[in-house]
Amino acid sequence: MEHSYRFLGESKIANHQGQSVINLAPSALSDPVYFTGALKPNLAYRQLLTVFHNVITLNYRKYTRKSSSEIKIRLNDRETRMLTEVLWQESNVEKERLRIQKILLSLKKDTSSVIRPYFKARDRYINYILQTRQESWLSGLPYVTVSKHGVILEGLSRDESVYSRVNFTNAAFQSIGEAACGCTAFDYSIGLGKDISKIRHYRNSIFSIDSNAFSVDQENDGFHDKKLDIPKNWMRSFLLFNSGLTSTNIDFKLQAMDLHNICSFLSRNKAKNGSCALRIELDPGKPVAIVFEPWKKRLLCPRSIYTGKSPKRVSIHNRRSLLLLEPLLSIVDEFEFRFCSTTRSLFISANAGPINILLGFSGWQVDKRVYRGFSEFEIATDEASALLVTRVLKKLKQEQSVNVAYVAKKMHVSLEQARVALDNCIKMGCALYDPEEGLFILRELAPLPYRVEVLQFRNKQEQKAMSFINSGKVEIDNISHQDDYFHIMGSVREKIICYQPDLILDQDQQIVNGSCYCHHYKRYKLNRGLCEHMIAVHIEFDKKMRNSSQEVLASSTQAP
Amino acid sequence: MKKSNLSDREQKIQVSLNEAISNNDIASLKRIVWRVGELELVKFANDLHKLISKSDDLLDYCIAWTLGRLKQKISHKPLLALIEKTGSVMVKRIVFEALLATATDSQQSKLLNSVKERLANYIDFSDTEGDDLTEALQQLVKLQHTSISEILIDVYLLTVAKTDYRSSLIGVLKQLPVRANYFLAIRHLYKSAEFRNDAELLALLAYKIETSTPQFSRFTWDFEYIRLPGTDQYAHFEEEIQKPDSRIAYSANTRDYFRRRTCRLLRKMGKSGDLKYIDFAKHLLLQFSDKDATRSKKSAKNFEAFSTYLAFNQVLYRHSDIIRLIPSGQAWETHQASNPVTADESIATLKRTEDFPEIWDQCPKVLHALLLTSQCEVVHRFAARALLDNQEYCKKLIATQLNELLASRYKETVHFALAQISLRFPDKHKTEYLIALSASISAFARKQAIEWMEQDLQSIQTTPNLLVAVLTSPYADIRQWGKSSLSAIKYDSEQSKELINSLFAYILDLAPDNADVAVIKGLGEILNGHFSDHVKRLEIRIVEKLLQHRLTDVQAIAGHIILNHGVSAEFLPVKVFISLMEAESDVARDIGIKLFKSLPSPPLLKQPDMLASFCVSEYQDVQQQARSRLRSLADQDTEFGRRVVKELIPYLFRKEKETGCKHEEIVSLIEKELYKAALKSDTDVIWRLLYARSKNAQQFGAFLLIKQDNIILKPVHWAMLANHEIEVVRQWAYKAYENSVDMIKSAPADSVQILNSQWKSSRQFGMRFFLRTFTAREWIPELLINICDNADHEIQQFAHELMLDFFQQGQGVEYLMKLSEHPSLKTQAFVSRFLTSFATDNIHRLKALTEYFLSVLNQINRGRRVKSTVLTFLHEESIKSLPAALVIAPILTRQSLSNVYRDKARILEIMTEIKLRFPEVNLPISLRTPVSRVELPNGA
Repeated sequence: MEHSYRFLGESKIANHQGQSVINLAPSALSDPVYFTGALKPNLAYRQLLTVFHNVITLNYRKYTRKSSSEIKIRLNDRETRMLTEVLWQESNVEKERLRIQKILLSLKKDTSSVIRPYFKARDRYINYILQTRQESWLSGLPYVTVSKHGVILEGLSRDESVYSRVNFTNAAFQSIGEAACGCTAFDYSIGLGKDISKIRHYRNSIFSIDSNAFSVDQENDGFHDKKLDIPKNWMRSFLLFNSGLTSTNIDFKLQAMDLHNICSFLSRNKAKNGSCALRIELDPGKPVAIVFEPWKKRLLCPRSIYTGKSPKRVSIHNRRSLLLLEPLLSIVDEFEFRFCSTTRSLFISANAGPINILLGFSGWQVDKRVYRGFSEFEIATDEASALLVTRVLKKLKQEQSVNVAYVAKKMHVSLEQARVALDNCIKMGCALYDPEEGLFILRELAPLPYRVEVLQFRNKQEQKAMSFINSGKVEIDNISHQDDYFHIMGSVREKIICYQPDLILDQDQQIVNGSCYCHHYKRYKLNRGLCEHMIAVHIEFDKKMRNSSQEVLASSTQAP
Repeated sequence: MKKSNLSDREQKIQVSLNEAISNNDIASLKRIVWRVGELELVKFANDLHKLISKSDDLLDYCIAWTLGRLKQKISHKPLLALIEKTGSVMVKRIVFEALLATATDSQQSKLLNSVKERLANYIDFSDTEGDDLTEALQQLVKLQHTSISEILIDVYLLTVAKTDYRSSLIGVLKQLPVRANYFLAIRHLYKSAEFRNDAELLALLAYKIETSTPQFSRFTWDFEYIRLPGTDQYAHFEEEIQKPDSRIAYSANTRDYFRRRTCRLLRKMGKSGDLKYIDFAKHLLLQFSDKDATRSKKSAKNFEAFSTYLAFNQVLYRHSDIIRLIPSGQAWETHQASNPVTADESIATLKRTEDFPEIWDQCPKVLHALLLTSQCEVVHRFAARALLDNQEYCKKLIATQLNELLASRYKETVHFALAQISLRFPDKHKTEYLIALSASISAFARKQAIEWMEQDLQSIQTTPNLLVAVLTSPYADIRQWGKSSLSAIKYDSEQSKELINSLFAYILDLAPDNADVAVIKGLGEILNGHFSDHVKRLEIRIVEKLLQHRLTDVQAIAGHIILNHGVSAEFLPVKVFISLMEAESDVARDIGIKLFKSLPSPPLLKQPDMLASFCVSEYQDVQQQARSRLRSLADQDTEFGRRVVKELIPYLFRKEKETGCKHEEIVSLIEKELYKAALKSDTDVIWRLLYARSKNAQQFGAFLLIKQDNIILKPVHWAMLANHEIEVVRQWAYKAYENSVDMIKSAPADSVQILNSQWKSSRQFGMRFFLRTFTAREWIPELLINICDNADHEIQQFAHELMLDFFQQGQGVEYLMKLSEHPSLKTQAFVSRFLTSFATDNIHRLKALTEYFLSVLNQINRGRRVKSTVLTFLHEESIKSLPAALVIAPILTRQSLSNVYRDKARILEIMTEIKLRFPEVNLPISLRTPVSRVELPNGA
């Protein structure tokens, strides 16, 4: 998905003696969006912006595995050495060999000491290039939305695992100057992080989105064009986090110190094998309990009482990302937690007076091979809903911000229909959801809405798997459960061939291993994700598990 | 005569009606009722009311249809009763139409409101204008909405009151494909349009059906499964066709039925002598254009391009001897081998073949309208021929109307107009006719024009307009005649001037999209040949305009004019010269280069901007010529060189164009040819170059910076240059620091910005420099705090050392309060040194430092020493006074939840002590007396 931008200068945080000016450079190719406001003295926004910066620059995927060819070369080298050792062991030249080996080792040492500065310089140069080339550490630019309720900054980490949103409400500003509502991507450089840390309480702070970008001649040398090929899946995850928010409520709250304790434990311990989940036990009227796996260490949060009506068990797999919250621990007293059941993502929000931050954590771990179902990106397929979506979108453009009840009333539809239509607007990149106010705010990421059909599936395999499921060609043959692992055998009929994939899942339904007969599996094994047959079986299994858990729940509620 | 016929007809119908009623012959009854509706015989309305609800849906349908067409208000009530009673959807639909036709205004709006309510789910009528409705309907069609047919039918109902919806509906229907999902709409709208006598819509739908192919054919012996159109899937025919969202519709039989129905309707209308026939036939003929012509088939039978369109052929060829309907009724066959109509230039010889010519003769205006608007050749042939027979109307045609017809792209129409003009030629509109004829499509007409003009050659001399029209005619024969006749006409200078001005006005108005190259070239030859003496005296601004024209051939004309002019290059205006050199036309540019070569140095030295623009021209030949003269000129006059550099540098700040001169070329040009002049550039220019986006410009800026001696910059600029990406620039900045210590000292805040550089070498230079040069006088707290704000740990450490070295009593508080906000742990640890000295016994400072305490205590797995210091300080302060304890207690309460035992134990210890000393302080602990674990021996 190629996106073009044109910026006048760069985004900057200028710290002069008397004041700090946070100046964002918007893309001049979008509709005019600008804003100027003097922030009230508050150090909290420095911490929030630090977290925002950390999220944008986060990438757990950057340590990629070595390629198989590289491993092979290393093994070949070792093989000759090992062979000579074995062959020479019994001969008389052993002493001679050892002598030569010693000389060789010293030579190697000398060589490496000579060449070391070169490698160091090369690394420095590569680091410099990485820092100056935005696309090397950024998949897509962050977005800023100016609405009548305030200013919202949004960004997603490169590895798609963490979403961040900082919301400056109008109350955060002492005075607001000229402003134009809308949404635009803004220029972002890695150096901004350093400048954020220079913001101080004793300096006046001005937050501005540069309006000059829209007023001067765009052929000027000050403008520079940028083309980013945003990965489809990155944009999909961005929209999915937004969409997931609509179906959540506050599940529970944790005191800052409880989160401090979690972070403290996680930074001291690293799980090397077994499950890496953080299990949260919620029992009505009781303190929230947190279990760290695989050590089964239980942490009780005595000041955070769960106020829900029914007991609940949730798990966080992306737990190491929680360390991102550290800068907030000293300025926020309470964190609100929300879970989205469809996308299995976790949202944590924190209020620092009139400024608040919302962080979304994906329900999966970056380096683990985990399949996430595509059911999360459900779109309106029938015509009536598609038509309703276009009408709702029109209304949203007129009103700038709406809530579900208003849309339902205006369009003469049920609340659920209105919610689904607004959710689709989010998936088209035309709206964002503010869970605090329950408002859907107009935020157009691109001049034209994204085509949801394009974003619905992550790859071709998912699309094929969906067609298998829709045409009822998937069956689960056998499920066996042993030592917290599920072994699933299924069959998928494709034309005249019946494939029989099998999967091994852990208790969180994350894939441990699997196999199939198909070409995709034979060629790539699991290195390029699952084949369409395995995906289909996995989803069918997931459906089955959900149904059975609902039945269990229903039977438990019926019991006297 | 007609009236008595009608009454006879009425009597006959009355008798048949009575007979059918008495015999209970429902089949005959339906036909009679339908006929009453067709003929709109109002007298039968009351009889029909009695026949309603005879338990036959089709009869009810016929009655409702007829009553609706009769439009009697008294029928409204019985129709209302019928719509309540009937269960059939088709009857309900036609009754609703009839109700609308028979309703009063209030009843109608009530009925239409119910339709609007039904549509509210799809279209928001509260704020819908015409364009919005079109957009909404197009969106629905694009979505392939399953209810699209119902929506379109409902919108058509609304057009009864809202006529502005009609254009939206027709616009959408024109694009609507004739296939499943949409065919329901087409069928129902066809019937509704027939019911309402809506000729335009009916003609459109009839045309769509005629020109579309059926989706499937079905025979009784066919297999029970049918292939779904456009897919590889099969479905059971009977089951599929019953579905409300059936994927098959519009069979060959359905298409044939509708085609026959259109023909029958036309015949019936015509037979009744009704003028509605003309209306319907006109709209039908206008639907067809030359694009609808199919490939002619010449096998055993001879099928022409339009032979398969039944209704179209019926209207045009019903009485033709040559074109006849084949027995199967599927097409119209041409019987003669040669085509009798196309080659003929005199339409009067043709025979009239259309259906109902007597009705057409009543409406010559319609025929005239067809000639003006139709896009179909055969329609023009018919209309021109028919109109010839209406001489009375033809005589009334005025000159402008005839000229309109002459401009037609159909020969038949042109010949018709020519025939009319021939009858009245020559008259006072002679020139207008000749102008129109010289641009006419027909060679015959043009030949006639030449003949008339040759007869009266002198009149051309007095009318320059006519000659311009002849010389600019799109046809070569007329232009050739015009060119040859020029020599025969003798013009005086005034007339020549007027003619030349007219020709230039024509050339300047030419649009590049539809200009004819041959015409322009011809005009060029005439202007530079026949009129060369006059053109020499032409105003230069016209030549300039010609050069700026977007057509290269026009530019070439201008080039030749300048060349013929014989003017010396140095006397040519600069603007004209630039236009000539930058002209797109190769011819014009070659002339420009030729003139440029002949230009002496003195005038060039006065135009540095012109030469600069030639140096960066997008044409290689111009660039080469300009550059070849640049060095010698710059050597002659240094000021000239400086000004050329000044003109060239702005090009480095613009984006490189794909075709234009590259930045690299400009830089190399300046370095090679204008080296000396470039060294005299201003500081501002160098600064802009250094921070330009183009790397070449930056390199050039660096080159100038090093070579220049008299650069005036300030410390703030030096600090910026020490952060520049080019190393020589940084080195230059270090030198500037070393050479101007006094200036640095005068602006310390700006100078220390060098420590924020992204380059380690710059930072280290900065630290060495400041340590060497700055004294206690310069190191004020504000400056040190500013340095300490740096994110680099080395710089922070540097600042801390300076603070301790140059510490003065009275600065401690400022350091403590300002540095406490620093996010770095090392600085926080540094700040903790000031706690005991400057924050003790001061409740306000204690309060202000709360954020600092929390920040330190919330560090994860870090800052053990600073945490201990802070806790010790809090301990000491909390037990000193109650207000301090009240400030510290919430901090301790918050942190007491920590699972780090060391912190927790220490915090609990402090909390216990506070509780003991100040019991009124609210803390979440309760003190218990420890139970002694030692058991004393009995009796002790």
